[in-house]
Amino acid sequence: MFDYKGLKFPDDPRLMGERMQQLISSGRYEREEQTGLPRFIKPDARVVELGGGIGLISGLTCKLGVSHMTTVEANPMLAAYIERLHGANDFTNTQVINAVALPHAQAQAAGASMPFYVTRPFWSSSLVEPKRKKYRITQVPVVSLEEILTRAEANTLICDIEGGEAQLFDGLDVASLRHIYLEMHTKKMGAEAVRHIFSHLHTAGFTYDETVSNGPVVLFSRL
Amino acid sequence: MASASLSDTAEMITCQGVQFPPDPAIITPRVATKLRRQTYEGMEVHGLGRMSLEDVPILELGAGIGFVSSFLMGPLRAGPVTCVEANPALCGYIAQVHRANGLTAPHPINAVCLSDSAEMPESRTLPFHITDPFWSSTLGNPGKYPHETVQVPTRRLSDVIAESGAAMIVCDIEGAETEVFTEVEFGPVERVYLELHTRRYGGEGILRVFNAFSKYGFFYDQSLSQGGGVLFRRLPRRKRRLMGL
Repeated sequence: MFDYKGLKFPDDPRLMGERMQQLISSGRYEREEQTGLPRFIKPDARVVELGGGIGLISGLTCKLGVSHMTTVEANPMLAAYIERLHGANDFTNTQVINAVALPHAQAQAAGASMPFYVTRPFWSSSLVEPKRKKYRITQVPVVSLEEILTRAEANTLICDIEGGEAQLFDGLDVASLRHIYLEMHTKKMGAEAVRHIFSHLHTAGFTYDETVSNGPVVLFSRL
Repeated sequence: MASASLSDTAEMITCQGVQFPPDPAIITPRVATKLRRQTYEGMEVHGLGRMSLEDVPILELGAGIGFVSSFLMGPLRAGPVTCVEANPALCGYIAQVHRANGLTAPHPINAVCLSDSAEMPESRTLPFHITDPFWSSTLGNPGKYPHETVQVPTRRLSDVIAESGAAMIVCDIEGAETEVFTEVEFGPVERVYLELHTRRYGGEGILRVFNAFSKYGFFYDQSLSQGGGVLFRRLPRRKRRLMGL
Protein backbone atom coordinates (compact mmCIF):
# COMPACT_ATOMS: atom_id res chain seq x y z
CA MET A 1 0.00 0.00 0.00
CA PHE A 2 1.26 3.42 -1.01
CA ASP A 3 1.29 6.27 1.50
CA TYR A 4 1.12 10.05 0.98
CA LYS A 5 0.83 12.51 3.88
CA GLY A 6 -0.39 9.62 6.04
CA LEU A 7 -3.10 8.76 3.51
CA LYS A 8 -3.05 5.11 2.40
CA PHE A 9 -3.71 4.31 -1.25
CA PRO A 10 -4.75 0.66 -1.81
CA ASP A 11 -2.87 -1.24 -4.51
CA ASP A 12 -4.48 -1.25 -7.91
CA PRO A 13 -2.41 -2.00 -11.01
CA ARG A 14 -4.75 -0.06 -13.31
CA LEU A 15 -5.18 3.08 -11.22
CA MET A 16 -2.24 3.24 -8.86
CA GLY A 17 0.67 2.42 -11.12
CA GLU A 18 4.20 3.65 -10.56
CA ARG A 19 3.69 6.88 -12.52
CA MET A 20 0.57 7.78 -10.58
CA GLN A 21 2.40 7.08 -7.31
CA GLN A 22 5.28 9.29 -8.40
CA LEU A 23 2.91 12.07 -9.40
CA ILE A 24 1.16 11.99 -6.04
CA SER A 25 4.41 11.71 -4.06
CA SER A 26 5.81 14.75 -5.83
CA GLY A 27 2.98 16.83 -4.34
CA ARG A 28 2.21 18.27 -7.79
CA TYR A 29 -1.04 16.39 -8.27
CA GLU A 30 -3.90 18.80 -7.46
CA ARG A 31 -1.32 20.94 -5.66
CA GLU A 32 -3.35 24.17 -5.40
CA GLU A 33 -6.39 22.27 -4.22
CA GLN A 34 -4.36 20.46 -1.56
CA THR A 35 -2.74 23.66 -0.28
CA GLY A 36 -6.02 25.45 0.30
CA LEU A 37 -7.92 22.67 2.10
CA PRO A 38 -6.50 23.08 5.64
CA ARG A 39 -7.17 26.83 5.49
CA PHE A 40 -10.94 26.44 5.59
CA ILE A 41 -11.91 22.83 6.41
CA LYS A 42 -13.12 22.70 10.02
CA PRO A 43 -14.25 19.71 12.13
CA ASP A 44 -17.92 20.62 11.66
CA ALA A 45 -17.62 20.60 7.86
CA ARG A 46 -20.15 18.42 6.07
CA VAL A 47 -18.68 18.08 2.62
CA VAL A 48 -20.09 17.05 -0.73
CA GLU A 49 -17.41 16.55 -3.35
CA LEU A 50 -18.18 16.41 -7.05
CA GLY A 51 -15.52 14.71 -9.13
CA GLY A 52 -13.72 12.52 -6.62
CA GLY A 53 -11.03 11.27 -9.03
CA ILE A 54 -8.56 8.96 -7.37
CA GLY A 55 -9.76 9.98 -3.89
CA LEU A 56 -6.81 12.20 -2.98
CA ILE A 57 -8.83 15.31 -2.10
CA SER A 58 -11.58 13.46 -0.25
CA GLY A 59 -8.93 11.45 1.60
CA LEU A 60 -6.96 14.54 2.64
CA THR A 61 -10.18 16.29 3.64
CA CYS A 62 -11.16 13.34 5.84
CA LYS A 63 -7.65 13.33 7.32
CA LEU A 64 -8.12 16.96 8.35
CA GLY A 65 -11.18 15.81 10.29
CA VAL A 66 -14.68 16.51 9.07
CA SER A 67 -18.15 15.72 10.29
CA HIS A 68 -19.12 13.94 7.07
CA MET A 69 -17.83 13.44 3.54
CA THR A 70 -19.90 12.50 0.49
CA THR A 71 -17.98 11.93 -2.72
CA VAL A 72 -19.73 11.80 -6.07
CA GLU A 73 -17.74 10.26 -8.92
CA ALA A 74 -19.11 9.41 -12.38
CA ASN A 75 -16.45 6.87 -13.33
CA PRO A 76 -17.51 3.52 -11.77
CA MET A 77 -13.95 2.25 -11.53
CA LEU A 78 -12.82 5.35 -9.63
CA ALA A 79 -15.89 5.36 -7.40
CA ALA A 80 -15.07 1.80 -6.35
CA TYR A 81 -11.45 2.75 -5.72
CA ILE A 82 -12.39 5.75 -3.54
CA GLU A 83 -14.56 3.45 -1.46
CA ARG A 84 -11.58 1.11 -0.97
CA LEU A 85 -9.39 4.09 -0.07
CA HIS A 86 -11.86 5.30 2.55
CA GLY A 87 -12.00 1.76 3.96
CA ALA A 88 -8.23 1.34 4.03
CA ASN A 89 -7.94 4.56 6.03
CA ASP A 90 -10.76 3.63 8.43
CA PHE A 91 -12.87 6.64 7.46
CA THR A 92 -16.36 5.79 8.64
CA ASN A 93 -18.23 9.05 8.18
CA THR A 94 -18.09 8.85 4.38
CA GLN A 95 -20.25 7.90 1.45
CA VAL A 96 -19.29 7.36 -2.19
CA ILE A 97 -21.93 7.75 -4.88
CA ASN A 98 -21.30 6.56 -8.43
CA ALA A 99 -23.36 9.08 -10.36
CA VAL A 100 -23.46 12.38 -12.16
CA ALA A 101 -24.96 15.04 -9.90
CA LEU A 102 -26.79 17.88 -11.63
CA PRO A 103 -29.01 20.71 -10.38
CA HIS A 104 -32.51 19.35 -9.92
CA ALA A 105 -34.08 20.78 -13.09
CA GLN A 106 -31.15 19.67 -15.24
CA ALA A 107 -31.22 16.21 -13.67
CA GLN A 108 -34.92 15.83 -14.48
CA ALA A 109 -34.34 16.91 -18.06
CA ALA A 110 -31.43 14.46 -18.44
CA GLY A 111 -33.39 11.34 -17.43
CA ALA A 112 -32.26 8.38 -15.34
CA SER A 113 -28.79 8.02 -16.81
CA MET A 114 -26.44 9.72 -19.22
CA PRO A 115 -23.34 8.84 -21.20
CA PHE A 116 -20.00 9.53 -19.53
CA TYR A 117 -16.83 9.54 -21.62
CA VAL A 118 -14.02 7.70 -19.89
CA THR A 119 -10.53 8.60 -21.08
CA ARG A 120 -6.95 7.72 -20.17
CA PRO A 121 -5.65 9.28 -18.05
CA PHE A 122 -8.86 9.21 -16.05
CA TRP A 123 -8.69 12.85 -14.97
CA SER A 124 -9.87 14.13 -18.35
CA SER A 125 -12.99 11.94 -18.36
CA SER A 126 -16.00 14.07 -19.06
CA LEU A 127 -19.72 14.41 -19.78
CA VAL A 128 -18.70 16.09 -23.03
CA GLU A 129 -17.44 13.93 -25.88
CA PRO A 130 -13.65 14.37 -26.02
CA LYS A 131 -12.46 15.76 -29.35
CA ARG A 132 -8.89 14.52 -29.41
CA LYS A 133 -8.72 11.70 -26.92
CA LYS A 134 -9.73 8.05 -27.23
CA TYR A 135 -12.62 7.19 -24.96
CA ARG A 136 -15.16 4.59 -24.07
CA ILE A 137 -18.71 5.39 -23.09
CA THR A 138 -20.34 4.24 -19.91
CA GLN A 139 -23.91 5.01 -18.84
CA VAL A 140 -23.96 6.67 -15.42
CA PRO A 141 -26.97 7.27 -13.15
CA VAL A 142 -28.08 10.90 -12.86
CA VAL A 143 -28.95 12.24 -9.43
CA SER A 144 -30.25 15.57 -8.20
CA LEU A 145 -27.49 17.61 -6.58
CA GLU A 146 -29.99 19.34 -4.29
CA GLU A 147 -31.11 15.97 -2.99
CA ILE A 148 -27.54 14.96 -2.27
CA LEU A 149 -26.80 18.27 -0.53
CA THR A 150 -29.96 17.97 1.56
CA ARG A 151 -29.43 14.34 2.51
CA ALA A 152 -25.80 15.02 3.44
CA GLU A 153 -26.79 18.20 5.34
CA ALA A 154 -23.87 19.70 3.47
CA ASN A 155 -22.31 23.05 4.34
CA THR A 156 -19.31 22.69 2.03
CA LEU A 157 -19.13 21.87 -1.69
CA ILE A 158 -15.87 20.83 -3.33
CA CYS A 159 -15.98 20.61 -7.08
CA ASP A 160 -13.52 19.54 -9.77
CA ILE A 161 -15.56 18.46 -12.78
CA GLU A 162 -13.54 19.42 -15.85
CA GLY A 163 -15.65 22.34 -17.09
CA GLY A 164 -19.00 20.93 -15.94
CA GLU A 165 -18.99 23.76 -13.39
CA ALA A 166 -20.02 26.18 -16.17
CA GLN A 167 -23.73 25.40 -15.74
CA LEU A 168 -23.61 23.80 -12.31
CA PHE A 169 -24.84 26.81 -10.37
CA ASP A 170 -27.70 27.77 -12.68
CA GLY A 171 -30.80 27.34 -10.59
CA LEU A 172 -28.94 25.47 -7.85
CA ASP A 173 -30.09 26.18 -4.33
CA VAL A 174 -26.90 26.95 -2.38
CA ALA A 175 -28.59 28.37 0.72
CA SER A 176 -27.21 25.69 3.05
CA LEU A 177 -23.61 26.12 1.92
CA ARG A 178 -20.98 28.32 3.50
CA HIS A 179 -18.02 27.30 1.32
CA ILE A 180 -17.77 26.41 -2.35
CA TYR A 181 -14.28 25.25 -3.30
CA LEU A 182 -14.11 25.22 -7.04
CA GLU A 183 -11.47 24.24 -9.53
CA MET A 184 -11.97 26.33 -12.67
CA HIS A 185 -11.32 24.99 -16.17
CA THR A 186 -11.25 28.19 -18.20
CA LYS A 187 -9.73 26.52 -21.28
CA LYS A 188 -12.55 24.00 -21.45
CA MET A 189 -15.50 26.23 -20.67
CA GLY A 190 -14.37 29.63 -21.94
CA ALA A 191 -13.92 33.00 -20.27
CA GLU A 192 -17.62 33.93 -20.39
CA ALA A 193 -18.40 30.92 -18.22
CA VAL A 194 -15.86 32.07 -15.62
CA ARG A 195 -17.44 35.49 -15.53
CA HIS A 196 -20.87 33.84 -15.30
CA ILE A 197 -19.87 31.65 -12.33
CA PHE A 198 -18.42 34.59 -10.40
CA SER A 199 -21.47 36.80 -11.05
CA HIS A 200 -23.80 33.98 -10.14
CA LEU A 201 -22.10 33.06 -6.86
CA HIS A 202 -21.56 36.69 -5.93
CA THR A 203 -25.29 37.28 -6.42
CA ALA A 204 -26.03 34.19 -4.31
CA GLY A 205 -24.19 35.73 -1.34
CA PHE A 206 -20.71 34.26 -1.76
CA THR A 207 -17.46 36.16 -2.22
CA TYR A 208 -14.05 35.37 -3.62
CA ASP A 209 -11.91 34.42 -0.62
CA GLU A 210 -8.39 35.76 -1.10
CA THR A 211 -7.00 33.89 1.89
CA VAL A 212 -7.43 30.52 0.16
CA SER A 213 -7.91 31.06 -3.59
CA ASN A 214 -4.95 30.28 -5.79
CA GLY A 215 -5.08 30.35 -9.57
CA PRO A 216 -7.53 27.77 -10.89
CA VAL A 217 -8.74 26.87 -7.40
CA VAL A 218 -11.13 29.45 -5.97
CA LEU A 219 -12.80 29.42 -2.60
CA PHE A 220 -16.13 31.21 -2.45
CA SER A 221 -17.13 31.93 1.13
CA ARG A 222 -20.53 33.04 2.31
CA LEU A 223 -20.75 36.73 3.09
CA MET B 1 26.85 52.49 16.20
CA ALA B 2 25.12 55.47 14.65
CA SER B 3 27.54 55.65 11.74
CA ALA B 4 26.87 52.03 10.82
CA SER B 5 23.11 52.52 10.73
CA LEU B 6 23.58 55.71 8.69
CA SER B 7 25.67 53.91 6.07
CA ASP B 8 23.00 51.20 6.02
CA THR B 9 20.61 53.58 4.35
CA ALA B 10 23.03 55.96 2.65
CA GLU B 11 23.91 53.73 -0.25
CA MET B 12 22.02 52.49 -3.28
CA ILE B 13 19.94 49.40 -2.49
CA THR B 14 19.08 46.84 -5.16
CA CYS B 15 15.85 44.83 -5.00
CA GLN B 16 14.85 42.43 -7.78
CA GLY B 17 17.12 44.28 -10.18
CA VAL B 18 15.76 47.74 -9.29
CA GLN B 19 18.09 50.30 -7.71
CA PHE B 20 16.92 52.67 -4.98
CA PRO B 21 18.86 55.86 -4.24
CA PRO B 22 19.20 56.78 -0.56
CA ASP B 23 16.63 59.13 0.94
CA PRO B 24 16.42 58.91 4.73
CA ALA B 25 12.84 60.23 4.83
CA ILE B 26 11.57 57.54 2.45
CA ILE B 27 14.02 54.65 2.53
CA THR B 28 13.79 54.28 6.29
CA PRO B 29 15.61 51.37 7.95
CA ARG B 30 12.38 49.37 7.85
CA VAL B 31 11.88 49.93 4.11
CA ALA B 32 15.58 49.28 3.49
CA THR B 33 15.35 45.93 5.26
CA LYS B 34 12.39 44.83 3.15
CA LEU B 35 14.17 45.87 -0.02
CA ARG B 36 17.41 44.12 0.92
CA ARG B 37 15.56 40.92 1.77
CA GLN B 38 14.02 41.10 -1.73
CA THR B 39 10.59 40.65 -0.15
CA TYR B 40 9.17 44.08 -1.00
CA GLU B 41 5.87 43.63 -2.92
CA GLY B 42 6.70 39.94 -3.30
CA MET B 43 3.25 39.02 -4.52
CA GLU B 44 3.30 41.58 -7.31
CA VAL B 45 6.75 40.46 -8.39
CA HIS B 46 5.53 36.87 -8.51
CA GLY B 47 2.28 37.64 -10.34
CA LEU B 48 3.54 40.24 -12.81
CA GLY B 49 6.75 38.32 -13.44
CA ARG B 50 4.76 35.55 -15.12
CA MET B 51 3.00 37.84 -17.61
CA SER B 52 4.26 38.82 -21.02
CA LEU B 53 4.35 42.59 -20.85
CA GLU B 54 7.00 43.60 -23.35
CA ASP B 55 6.21 47.07 -24.74
CA VAL B 56 2.78 47.09 -23.06
CA PRO B 57 1.96 50.65 -21.88
CA ILE B 58 0.80 50.52 -18.28
CA LEU B 59 -0.97 52.78 -15.81
CA GLU B 60 -0.03 52.20 -12.19
CA LEU B 61 -2.35 53.39 -9.43
CA GLY B 62 -0.63 53.60 -6.06
CA ALA B 63 2.94 53.74 -7.30
CA GLY B 64 4.60 53.90 -3.86
CA ILE B 65 8.38 54.24 -4.14
CA GLY B 66 8.42 53.33 -7.83
CA PHE B 67 9.42 49.73 -7.34
CA VAL B 68 6.68 48.03 -9.37
CA SER B 69 6.90 50.56 -12.23
CA SER B 70 10.68 50.11 -12.41
CA PHE B 71 10.33 46.33 -12.23
CA LEU B 72 7.81 46.52 -15.07
CA MET B 73 9.90 48.77 -17.31
CA GLY B 74 13.26 47.22 -16.39
CA PRO B 75 13.36 43.43 -16.01
CA LEU B 76 9.92 42.88 -17.60
CA ARG B 77 10.55 45.37 -20.45
CA ALA B 78 7.02 46.78 -20.35
CA GLY B 79 6.23 49.99 -22.22
CA PRO B 80 6.18 53.32 -20.42
CA VAL B 81 4.49 53.17 -17.03
CA THR B 82 2.41 56.18 -16.02
CA CYS B 83 2.52 56.34 -12.24
CA VAL B 84 -0.22 57.85 -10.12
CA GLU B 85 0.61 58.38 -6.46
CA ALA B 86 -1.42 60.31 -3.89
CA ASN B 87 1.51 60.97 -1.57
CA PRO B 88 3.25 64.08 -3.00
CA ALA B 89 6.53 63.29 -1.25
CA LEU B 90 6.77 59.97 -3.07
CA CYS B 91 6.17 61.41 -6.57
CA GLY B 92 9.54 63.12 -6.70
CA TYR B 93 11.24 60.02 -5.35
CA ILE B 94 9.61 57.77 -7.98
CA ALA B 95 11.05 60.01 -10.72
CA GLN B 96 14.44 59.75 -9.03
CA VAL B 97 14.21 55.93 -8.96
CA HIS B 98 13.30 55.85 -12.65
CA ARG B 99 16.31 58.05 -13.46
CA ALA B 100 18.65 55.97 -11.32
CA ASN B 101 17.59 52.90 -13.27
CA GLY B 102 17.94 54.59 -16.66
CA LEU B 103 14.21 54.34 -17.36
CA THR B 104 12.17 56.82 -19.37
CA ALA B 105 8.67 57.39 -18.05
CA PRO B 106 6.22 60.28 -17.74
CA HIS B 107 6.62 62.28 -14.52
CA PRO B 108 4.46 60.66 -11.79
CA ILE B 109 1.04 62.21 -11.41
CA ASN B 110 0.24 63.38 -7.89
CA ALA B 111 -3.46 62.65 -7.66
CA VAL B 112 -6.27 60.58 -6.25
CA CYS B 113 -8.35 59.00 -9.01
CA LEU B 114 -12.12 59.05 -8.91
CA SER B 115 -14.78 56.99 -10.63
CA ASP B 116 -16.99 58.82 -13.15
CA SER B 117 -19.90 58.51 -10.73
CA ALA B 118 -18.03 59.96 -7.73
CA GLU B 119 -18.78 63.53 -6.80
CA MET B 120 -15.92 65.83 -7.77
CA PRO B 121 -15.18 67.99 -4.70
CA GLU B 122 -15.40 71.74 -5.31
CA SER B 123 -11.81 72.22 -4.18
CA ARG B 124 -10.78 69.39 -6.55
CA THR B 125 -8.80 67.92 -3.70
CA LEU B 126 -9.38 65.22 -1.10
CA PRO B 127 -7.73 64.65 2.27
CA PHE B 128 -5.22 61.81 2.12
CA HIS B 129 -3.73 60.30 5.26
CA ILE B 130 -0.02 59.62 5.00
CA THR B 131 1.01 56.94 7.46
CA ASP B 132 4.28 55.60 8.72
CA PRO B 133 5.03 53.18 7.07
CA PHE B 134 3.99 54.92 3.85
CA TRP B 135 2.52 51.75 2.29
CA SER B 136 -0.56 51.93 4.50
CA SER B 137 -1.40 55.51 3.51
CA THR B 138 -5.06 55.81 2.64
CA LEU B 139 -8.07 57.97 1.77
CA GLY B 140 -9.97 55.97 4.35
CA ASN B 141 -9.40 55.45 8.02
CA PRO B 142 -5.64 55.22 8.78
CA GLY B 143 -6.51 53.19 11.89
CA LYS B 144 -3.72 52.57 14.35
CA TYR B 145 -0.98 54.14 12.24
CA PRO B 146 0.51 57.55 13.09
CA HIS B 147 -0.27 59.84 10.18
CA GLU B 148 -0.38 63.33 8.75
CA THR B 149 -3.11 64.52 6.43
CA VAL B 150 -2.51 66.35 3.14
CA GLN B 151 -4.87 67.66 0.45
CA VAL B 152 -4.32 65.82 -2.83
CA PRO B 153 -5.62 66.82 -6.29
CA THR B 154 -8.44 64.65 -7.68
CA ARG B 155 -8.62 63.36 -11.26
CA ARG B 156 -11.16 61.24 -13.12
CA LEU B 157 -9.69 57.78 -13.70
CA SER B 158 -11.28 57.72 -17.17
CA ASP B 159 -9.30 60.85 -18.14
CA VAL B 160 -6.05 59.47 -16.75
CA ILE B 161 -6.55 56.22 -18.69
CA ALA B 162 -7.21 58.14 -21.91
CA GLU B 163 -4.12 60.35 -21.47
CA SER B 164 -1.85 57.44 -20.60
CA GLY B 165 -2.94 55.23 -23.51
CA ALA B 166 -2.47 52.28 -21.17
CA ALA B 167 -3.40 48.75 -22.22
CA MET B 168 -3.08 47.52 -18.66
CA ILE B 169 -3.65 48.85 -15.15
CA VAL B 170 -1.69 47.75 -12.10
CA CYS B 171 -3.42 48.84 -8.92
CA ASP B 172 -2.53 48.73 -5.24
CA ILE B 173 -4.46 51.49 -3.48
CA GLU B 174 -5.20 50.14 -0.01
CA GLY B 175 -8.94 49.71 -0.29
CA ALA B 176 -9.96 52.50 -2.67
CA GLU B 177 -10.38 49.84 -5.38
CA THR B 178 -13.96 49.29 -4.17
CA GLU B 179 -14.88 52.80 -5.33
CA VAL B 180 -12.66 53.87 -8.19
CA PHE B 181 -13.72 51.22 -10.75
CA THR B 182 -17.50 51.49 -10.38
CA GLU B 183 -17.94 53.83 -13.41
CA VAL B 184 -14.96 54.00 -15.74
CA GLU B 185 -14.26 54.40 -19.44
CA PHE B 186 -11.68 51.63 -19.76
CA GLY B 187 -10.82 52.44 -23.39
CA PRO B 188 -7.92 50.26 -24.57
CA VAL B 189 -7.35 48.63 -21.17
CA GLU B 190 -7.45 44.83 -21.56
CA ARG B 191 -5.96 43.73 -18.24
CA VAL B 192 -6.15 44.95 -14.66
CA TYR B 193 -3.83 43.47 -12.05
CA LEU B 194 -5.31 44.31 -8.71
CA GLU B 195 -4.18 43.91 -5.14
CA LEU B 196 -7.27 43.16 -3.05
CA HIS B 197 -7.54 44.32 0.58
CA THR B 198 -10.25 42.13 2.11
CA ARG B 199 -9.06 43.05 5.61
CA ARG B 200 -10.07 46.64 4.97
CA TYR B 201 -13.50 46.15 3.43
CA GLY B 202 -14.60 42.53 3.96
CA GLY B 203 -16.70 40.45 1.61
CA GLU B 204 -18.97 43.37 0.71
CA GLY B 205 -16.02 45.24 -0.73
CA ILE B 206 -14.89 42.17 -2.69
CA LEU B 207 -18.36 42.00 -4.21
CA ARG B 208 -18.16 45.65 -5.27
CA VAL B 209 -14.80 45.09 -6.94
CA PHE B 210 -15.77 41.92 -8.81
CA ASN B 211 -19.16 43.32 -9.83
CA ALA B 212 -17.57 46.47 -11.19
CA PHE B 213 -15.19 44.50 -13.39
CA SER B 214 -17.86 42.02 -14.43
CA LYS B 215 -20.03 44.92 -15.62
CA TYR B 216 -17.30 45.94 -18.06
CA GLY B 217 -16.76 42.40 -19.36
CA PHE B 218 -13.69 41.49 -17.33
CA PHE B 219 -13.22 37.98 -15.95
CA TYR B 220 -10.96 36.32 -13.35
CA ASP B 221 -7.85 35.02 -15.09
CA GLN B 222 -7.07 31.73 -13.38
CA SER B 223 -3.62 31.38 -14.89
CA LEU B 224 -2.19 34.49 -13.23
CA SER B 225 -4.29 35.21 -10.14
CA GLN B 226 -3.21 34.16 -6.70
CA GLY B 227 -4.79 35.07 -3.37
CA GLY B 228 -5.03 38.83 -3.04
CA GLY B 229 -3.36 39.44 -6.40
CA VAL B 230 -6.06 39.08 -9.04
CA LEU B 231 -5.71 39.55 -12.77
CA PHE B 232 -8.90 40.66 -14.47
CA ARG B 233 -8.82 40.15 -18.22
CA ARG B 234 -11.35 41.71 -20.57
CA LEU B 235 -13.42 39.62 -22.97
CA PRO B 236 -12.72 40.47 -26.62
CA ARG B 237 -14.75 43.42 -27.94
CA ARG B 238 -16.74 41.17 -30.30
CA LYS B 239 -17.89 38.96 -27.42
CA ARG B 240 -18.69 41.96 -25.24
CA ARG B 241 -20.89 43.37 -27.98
CA LEU B 242 -22.72 40.05 -28.36
CA MET B 243 -23.37 40.05 -24.63
CA GLY B 244 -24.53 43.66 -24.67
CA LEU B 245 -21.65 44.87 -22.48
